[in-house]
Amino acid sequence: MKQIIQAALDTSFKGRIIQVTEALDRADAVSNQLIELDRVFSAMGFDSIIASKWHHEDVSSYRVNLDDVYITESDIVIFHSCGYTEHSGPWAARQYCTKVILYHNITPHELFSEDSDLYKFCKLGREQLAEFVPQFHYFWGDSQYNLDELIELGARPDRSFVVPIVVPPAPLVSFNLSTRKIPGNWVFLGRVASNKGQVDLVRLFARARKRNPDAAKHLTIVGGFNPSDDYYNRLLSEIAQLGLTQDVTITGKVSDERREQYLREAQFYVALSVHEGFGVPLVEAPLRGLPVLALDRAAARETMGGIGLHDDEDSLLQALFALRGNDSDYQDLVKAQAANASRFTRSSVSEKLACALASILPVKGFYKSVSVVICTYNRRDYLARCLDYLQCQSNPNFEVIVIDGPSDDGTKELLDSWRGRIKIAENGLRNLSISRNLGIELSQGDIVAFIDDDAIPFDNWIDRILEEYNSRPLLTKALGGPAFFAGTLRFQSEDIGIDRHGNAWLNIPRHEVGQGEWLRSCLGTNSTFVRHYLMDGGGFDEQFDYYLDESELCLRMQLQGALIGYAPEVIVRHEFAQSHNRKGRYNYDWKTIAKNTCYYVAAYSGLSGEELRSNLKQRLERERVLPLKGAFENGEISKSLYENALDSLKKGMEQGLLDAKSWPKTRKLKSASEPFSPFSLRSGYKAVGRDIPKLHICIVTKEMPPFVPGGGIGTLYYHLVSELLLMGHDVSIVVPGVEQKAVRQGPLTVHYTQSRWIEVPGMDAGLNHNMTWSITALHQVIRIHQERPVDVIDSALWDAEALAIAVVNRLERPPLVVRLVTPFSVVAAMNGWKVQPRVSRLFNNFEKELIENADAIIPISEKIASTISKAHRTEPNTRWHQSYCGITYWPLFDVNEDYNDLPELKGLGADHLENSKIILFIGRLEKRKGIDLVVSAVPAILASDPHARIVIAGSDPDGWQHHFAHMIPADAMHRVHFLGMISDAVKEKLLARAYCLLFPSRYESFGLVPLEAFVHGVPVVASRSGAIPEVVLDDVCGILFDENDSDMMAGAVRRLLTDERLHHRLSQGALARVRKLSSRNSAQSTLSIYQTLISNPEAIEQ
Amino acid sequence: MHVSDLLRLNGASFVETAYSIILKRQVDRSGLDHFMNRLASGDSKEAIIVTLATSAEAKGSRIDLIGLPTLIRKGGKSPLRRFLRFFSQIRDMRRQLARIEYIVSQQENILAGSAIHSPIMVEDRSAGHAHVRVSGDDLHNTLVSIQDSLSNTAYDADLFIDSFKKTIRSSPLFFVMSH
Repeated sequence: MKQIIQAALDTSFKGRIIQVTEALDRADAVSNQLIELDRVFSAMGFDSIIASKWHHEDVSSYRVNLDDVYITESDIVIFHSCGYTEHSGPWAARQYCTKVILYHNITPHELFSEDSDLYKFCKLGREQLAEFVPQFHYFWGDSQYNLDELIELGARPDRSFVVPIVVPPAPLVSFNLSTRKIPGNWVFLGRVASNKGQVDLVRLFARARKRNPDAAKHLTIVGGFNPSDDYYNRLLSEIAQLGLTQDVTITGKVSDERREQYLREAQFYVALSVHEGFGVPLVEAPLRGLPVLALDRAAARETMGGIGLHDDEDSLLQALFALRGNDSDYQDLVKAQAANASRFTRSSVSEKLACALASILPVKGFYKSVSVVICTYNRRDYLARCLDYLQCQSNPNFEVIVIDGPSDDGTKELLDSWRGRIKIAENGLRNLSISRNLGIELSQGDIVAFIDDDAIPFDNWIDRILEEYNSRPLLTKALGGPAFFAGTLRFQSEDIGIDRHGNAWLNIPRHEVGQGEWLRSCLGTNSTFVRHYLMDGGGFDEQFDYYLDESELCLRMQLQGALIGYAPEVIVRHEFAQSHNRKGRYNYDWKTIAKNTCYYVAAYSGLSGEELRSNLKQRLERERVLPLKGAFENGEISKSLYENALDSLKKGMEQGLLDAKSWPKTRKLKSASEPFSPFSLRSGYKAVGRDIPKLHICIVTKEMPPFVPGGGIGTLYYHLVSELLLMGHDVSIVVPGVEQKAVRQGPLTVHYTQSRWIEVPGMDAGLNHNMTWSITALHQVIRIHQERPVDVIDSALWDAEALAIAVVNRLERPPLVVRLVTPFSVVAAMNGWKVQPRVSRLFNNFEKELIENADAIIPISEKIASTISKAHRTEPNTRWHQSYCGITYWPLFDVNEDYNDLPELKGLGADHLENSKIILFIGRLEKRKGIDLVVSAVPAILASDPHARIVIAGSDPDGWQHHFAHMIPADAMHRVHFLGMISDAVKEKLLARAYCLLFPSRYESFGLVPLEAFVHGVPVVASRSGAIPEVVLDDVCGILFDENDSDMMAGAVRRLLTDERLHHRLSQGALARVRKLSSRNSAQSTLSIYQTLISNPEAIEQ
Repeated sequence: MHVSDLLRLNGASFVETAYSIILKRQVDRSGLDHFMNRLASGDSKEAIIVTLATSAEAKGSRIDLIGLPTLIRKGGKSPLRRFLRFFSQIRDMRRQLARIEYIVSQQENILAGSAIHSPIMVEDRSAGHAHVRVSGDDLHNTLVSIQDSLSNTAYDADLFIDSFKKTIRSSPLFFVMSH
């Protein structure tokens, strides 16, 4: 086995090698070879399996049931062919993976009588083989003779390899076995069949006997037979006619021991076979000191290395007589033939096998580099973000190529700032496929990876891409992965099926790919390809300016025999941002969609003429017209939009059919001379897998949007989880639910946990609830930990959710991090909750206990740290690490909310928004939020600028709108707008249009609203209370005023309104501030806290 | 429907039903969050009905809710709470009630969250979601022993925590740690 390992290929292949046969038998050359190869593959370190439909009991431990094997595209299936197969052949042929035929030869049926079973078996077998060849990728034969047959059937010579049968050395024999050579004893091994020539052999034996009875004393034919077979009966009658009944033995199937004895007692092995694909006994005999005399037919020459072959029976007989009389010649022949046998030892065959595998599998590190191609058009901010995040990749072996469409939104200026660090090209046309092809031509990496400008790659994206390609067979020419849909923490789609009609099957089950009409497609925003394959194949079809572009390429590649992989761990986050093709939920570029659908279907469906036309009409009606009609009837879209859409669909169809006449529109790609230009990574950034280990983080929270609705804590964890996932960590979240279930989306698992209620008599209901939940959560975390060890647990102070976890001895649980948010006592006081003192004490004790037992404490602001230490009379110590919350530094505009389109809001029309300076207040209209200060400041604010307009959004439970009407002069009131409650989407859109934000709140533990304003570069005029001054830096990104001082607030707004330069400076400051308080920075600081706990568990004890 | 029927509902289902009767539409996320917060922070259900019924959105539409005009006249104060106002010493009962309502609303929140997402979750996708079954015996036993050991300590905060700690530490719930 040692030699085999030396011969083994140095590869990172992680798939399985599955050898398939119809029946695994004992004492059968093909079955023995399956078992031998299985041993060799295992010794080489591969995951090797034998699968068969039928089997002999003696070999049952070597195989699994064919029907129980599920193949993935990473596997290699080796189908052993030696005749017609009802199950295994068709099964192997329909798998979507790398497929090898190992051909052991099917005897030409003409050699058998027409009514025999063998005739049928071989005839059907050869017909089936011809059908199989185009469906397999690689072709192995145990001799060149066999391989030539496959090549004649169409097998690619460059993918054809000889993998001979392993012939093990002769076994040692037991003492009671006679091994003395008996002169005049002939032997032949092989099933009784006409191609083996046993009848001729008996005749030759008779001839020899006639010449010299001592030269041919006995002939033993070792092999099975079918008593009703014609040839067998012919053989019997021949023996009888020649009077040889006593001198010829037909043994039937014998034990291995008997077989050994026959071989060792004989003087000559004589073979008159006219057709052998290999002929194992021809190699076995010399290994037992027995010379072989055979006819030079079929593969015999190849197997025997040309030694001991004869053109005809006469010369064979002559040689036999000559050898009888010359012992030294006899020994020389045996020696030469035994030397030839060394070609079939395990180690020799392993070398051949490694050679054959080398054309199927990549050697370790074969794929070394990636070219990331981003095609962009008028999405400067998204592009900036994508480039920003690319700097956090853990694997540095990639370059970045940006192809800019005819952008006029500042993208060119952005790209100028990146010049020298990335490759840049321009495409004057708004055509994605042309852009992509330009990107391919500029690329020098082994792999070309496309990511959309509105997507963000996971930190391990490049690393995973290279690892996936290096661990899969070389036929994998493309690879895709899932995309997290921004804002939802759910996959936009996972695996995707595509057919010749351009129908897509989102989340196609893996085993359906390759079955029926379905092949695989990739998500355009996360699709990768082998570069040389793209270059050779002409890349993208430039018809596809948008829509079906990557689908067509994927289909074409697979029709040409390539495999496309799906890698669940190659992940990006995708925004689905607005573009010129996608302006809103029903506002797409319908003409292009129809045009390219029709082109695709015309090219690949096989339909034509009227049939094609009516198929397309129905298709567009069903998929496009009906939903639009529904939207129109529901009043979601206007009549003109609807009618335009119908018209566009119609025009698109005609155009597509016309374009199809010049299909395909691929072109010869030319590689640019620019060398590979590695992207520079962010220095000092600690990447998962490179600098820090991947962690499994468990978060216990009652709020986790969008899974469980919530407030500030939910927002905090939503952003944290999003970033931890992007960084490449695994996250499990324990949230309350009505039933016990786990929702898994790649590295994220949400554990809905059913809390069981027990009532502690005399206990406050709220406390009782919190306590029960904390115990339930502990139970759930233990279960998660059992499945996969949890590295760190994170939970917030509110409701002491992690109390039960905290009180477990510190070394008997994973480390616990507690985030300090507003404590119960402060919330109760702010909300005026009347709580009995003993209950209040218990709530406080819960919190105190949690803080004392946690391994690390994260106050989300300095203010909250001091509030808590005052409330619980506890001093911050080394376990305390202050870390601000963070949010994504870009806005989230949703396709389902028509992106940034803002409908008229209660008298606040588009013209108001365009031509005014919007002073925005967002929050509940209540004193705690400082609405009274706004009322007092309004007249002064409005007086300072005629373009100022005050917009107040939020619920008004106390009727403040009424107060305003009384306190503000009527002529000013038309510049004050009350919107009431607004949705998150409207909030985002208003902030995008605001001039400044008022934030006069009297208490905040952090202040997320100012951060949300900073995202849009909106300066904030805020009160100097709570943690606000930590978020809003005075004169940097806003202006602070003293608590309760409305004059000072009005003055600050007036300064902003009248001093454009100040406004501009603070606006820039706001954008910089949110970059500083970004979710990535916040997650990084959280991680460094996690790290201290994990790398130094002893520190916890101190 | 009578106002009292509506008032019998709690939490999210109260807000949803109020929306469907008064505004004749489904509640949106932000609306639901807002009114759940109002309930949590002590606003009465009556007040919320009045807010909805007098909102700009409801203006001009006929609301089929018997007893609504009376409620609006009273300004959304419940009869119980008007009665309570006579007893100044227990005036804070309102806040107490509000807090209990907050606790209930939290439960409702869980229900609401699950109800929104479960149709997506339970769908059978071989590659997607693993369903976890919990025997729950350990959890159940722990909860029962907590119930026993805490019953007498619920009035003493320090004793309570001590007892809670001891019970958890001696419970069958433990992590299998590798170090």
